[in-house]
Amino acid sequence: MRNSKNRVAVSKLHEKNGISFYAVQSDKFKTIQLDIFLIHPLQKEAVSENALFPYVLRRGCSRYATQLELALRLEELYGAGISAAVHKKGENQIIHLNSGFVADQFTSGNTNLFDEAGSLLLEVLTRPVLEEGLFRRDYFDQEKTNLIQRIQSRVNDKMHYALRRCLEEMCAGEPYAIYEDGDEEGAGTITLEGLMARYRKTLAESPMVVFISGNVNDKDTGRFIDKFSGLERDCNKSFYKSQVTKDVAKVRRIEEPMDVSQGQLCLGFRTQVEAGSPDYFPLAIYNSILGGGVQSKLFQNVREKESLAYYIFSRLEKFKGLLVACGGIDIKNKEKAEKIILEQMEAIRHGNISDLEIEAAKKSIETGTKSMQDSQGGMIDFYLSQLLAGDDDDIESFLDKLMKVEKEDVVRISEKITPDTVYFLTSLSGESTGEGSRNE
Amino acid sequence: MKIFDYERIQEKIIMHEHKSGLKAFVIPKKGYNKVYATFATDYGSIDNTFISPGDKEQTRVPDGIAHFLEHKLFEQEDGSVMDKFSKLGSVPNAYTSFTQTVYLFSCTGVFEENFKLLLNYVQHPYLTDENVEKEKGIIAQEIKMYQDNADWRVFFNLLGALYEKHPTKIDIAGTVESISQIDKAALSKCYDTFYHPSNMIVVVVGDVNDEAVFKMIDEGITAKENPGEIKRIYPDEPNTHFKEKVEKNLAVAIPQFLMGVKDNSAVSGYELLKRKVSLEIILSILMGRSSLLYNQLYDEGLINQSFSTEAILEKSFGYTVWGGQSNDPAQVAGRIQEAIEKIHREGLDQKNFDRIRKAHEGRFIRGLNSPENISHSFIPLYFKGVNFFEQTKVYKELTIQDVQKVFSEHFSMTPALSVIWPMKM
Repeated sequence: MRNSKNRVAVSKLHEKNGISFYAVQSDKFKTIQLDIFLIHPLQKEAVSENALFPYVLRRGCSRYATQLELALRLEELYGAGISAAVHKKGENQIIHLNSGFVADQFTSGNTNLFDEAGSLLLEVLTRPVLEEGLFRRDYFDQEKTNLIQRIQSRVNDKMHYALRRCLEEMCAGEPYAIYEDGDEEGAGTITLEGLMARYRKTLAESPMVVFISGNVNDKDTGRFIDKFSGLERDCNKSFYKSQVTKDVAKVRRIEEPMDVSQGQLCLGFRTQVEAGSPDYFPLAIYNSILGGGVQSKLFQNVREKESLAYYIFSRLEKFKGLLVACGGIDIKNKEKAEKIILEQMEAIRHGNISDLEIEAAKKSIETGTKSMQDSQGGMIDFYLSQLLAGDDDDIESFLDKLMKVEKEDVVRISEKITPDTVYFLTSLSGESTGEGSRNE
Repeated sequence: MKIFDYERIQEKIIMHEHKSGLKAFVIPKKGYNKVYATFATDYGSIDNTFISPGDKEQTRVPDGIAHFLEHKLFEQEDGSVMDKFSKLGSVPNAYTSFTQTVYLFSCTGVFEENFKLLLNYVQHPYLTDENVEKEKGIIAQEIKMYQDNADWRVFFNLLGALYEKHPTKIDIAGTVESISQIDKAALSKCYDTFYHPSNMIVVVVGDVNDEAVFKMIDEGITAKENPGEIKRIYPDEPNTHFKEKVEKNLAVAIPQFLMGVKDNSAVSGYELLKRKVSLEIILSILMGRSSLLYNQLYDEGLINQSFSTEAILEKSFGYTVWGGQSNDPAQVAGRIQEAIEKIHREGLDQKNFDRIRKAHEGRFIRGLNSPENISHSFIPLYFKGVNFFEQTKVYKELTIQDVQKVFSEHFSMTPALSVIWPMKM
């Protein structure tokens, strides 16, 4: 099962002032990638500012004060990229700055892209363009508008919108209901002063994780790490742990009408399983059997047998212990689809799982995990997740534990899974539109 | 067996031709766990009218049939081929574009069994009246999913503005109406016409033994006699845009827009690749992240980070396209037109050209980490008569004069505009 010859080695290099550095060492990639993550608990009062400042930082730094100058410089560095993004894992908001560029053997002359891109990335994070001690007013205003537009645009992708609305309704009142971008109201009230204070606070006090990926020598790595020593840090926190267990008194039903021709059905469940717990492994297998791929019960029954959907899947939110089953269906088929989904879960609970289903689920996760080692981004995401889960497993021991899961473990875990919320995105009339009537 | 070596980018391609005319390629990726294997036919949604080898009459098939056939090939007499791949722990998939249909899997173990399975099932369709009917419900949901997708709609509305007759304006999956007309006989006709090995290629990207791959090709591909040429019939398309503007309302928050200019060069082979790279560089010079125009529009709040540009070139059609979100698409359109006219007057700047060419080359190299990206880029270009890795040569050879010439030819029409407005509440 193991394939150790193609291992990508991940090692911890250094930890100081709440900043930990990791190397993702491999010579099979043509690129070097630098990733800086700041990890902050999802909090209503902080989320909008934390979602905004990375984008203001991306507008320019002291040396290249505008987006235009920065773009010109990055083009000179063989099309190097610098990006800012904000993600969410469980009840943590993750602020992410990244730089990717080609390895030196692909550049001509004696450019040291690593030093220059590394410095630039750090300058973007720590040396913003300031006017009287604050971010530039025009950058602030523009990026605030962009943030509000990003929030409003969630509705554009109906499948993800429905999935995230289901999770939001399900966790109403818990930090998990907060989006990584916050909400429109919160974004609207951000002030320039407040944003500056938040930036300084998050940068100084939040746990920071840095990944250096690619074929980088120790000297270059050392110089890059040294660049962080000038940061004023006051961090004594570890990662916030998401609240997972919750009793569900009654299943909630939400219907949201919108001008759509296809209905989006999402069934949300609590698994009561924490990310770092040994129960996570049978839960992952459970999810794969239920809706993890073409072999899954949902795909086989909802799509292949009943032709109700084109896409149908289930997904785990590992850190919050949630499971959601989603499908895009004809509006008139809502009851039927919901019934079939619940029947599949019932079947697992009764131990109605074939050896083939267990095998296919394990192999599917194994293939996915091994494939991840062919992507620098995939490796980084895996290790960041492991850190957040407080899980020491590397890829090999992670896979070993998955492979040891038995049918009984999956059945046992299925008992813990409780229905919480049924969300349905439906048409304005609540009825199916005539077939083909909306075609151009 | 032929080996093509690309030292600059440290990549190579090993090619083998099967006696049926099928060409197989191995692109080695040393140290990779994953093997990404594809079996592709030079047949896509635009091939809806053709004369099969040996026929005298032309055949017109229902829209969406290439995509329908792609769905149906997964079904085999002894069950779904997806189950068999799942047993082997691999991830099967397939996709249909305007010009190709591609079957694929990725795996991290038992490559040989997976590969034999891929070769086998694509060569053995199993079509029955019942299984054809059953698929219609699934594909109808796929079509509806795209109807609600603003990115997709704004794109097809633009194609509807650029093209009057060319079938690229038709949705790849067809319509609920058109797929209702698809039956077993029509699917078989398309299969027999377009799935001959001489119209197909196999591409394997990963850490594999090329000789073993080619041996499996020799054993696994049925050598049918080459039936001769397929005549693909496309309507005579005017060189001008069909409409200036197409607008529609959908449930979106911010208006979405796309603009485009038709490319009438009808080039193929290395010339096509060179023209595509030229157009990409022009788009960056005009409205890329380092252009004055992009930054002005961004600063004025007329565009945001969703703005992007692309150049599409096929043998029978082509266009440049750009867009994103904007509250004032007409204003953006006007400003872009002004920038185009300015370059018509003043020409391209050498310094900009040199810097952007270098940046594009860097981004091209960065994309070579991904076996999926290599495969998805290689297949369509190969069917157009050029090898994807030749792009490294283009970056080396391309001059500002080449690009200036492409600019003058291509940007001779006012761009067409497609807008999706939010629903009026």
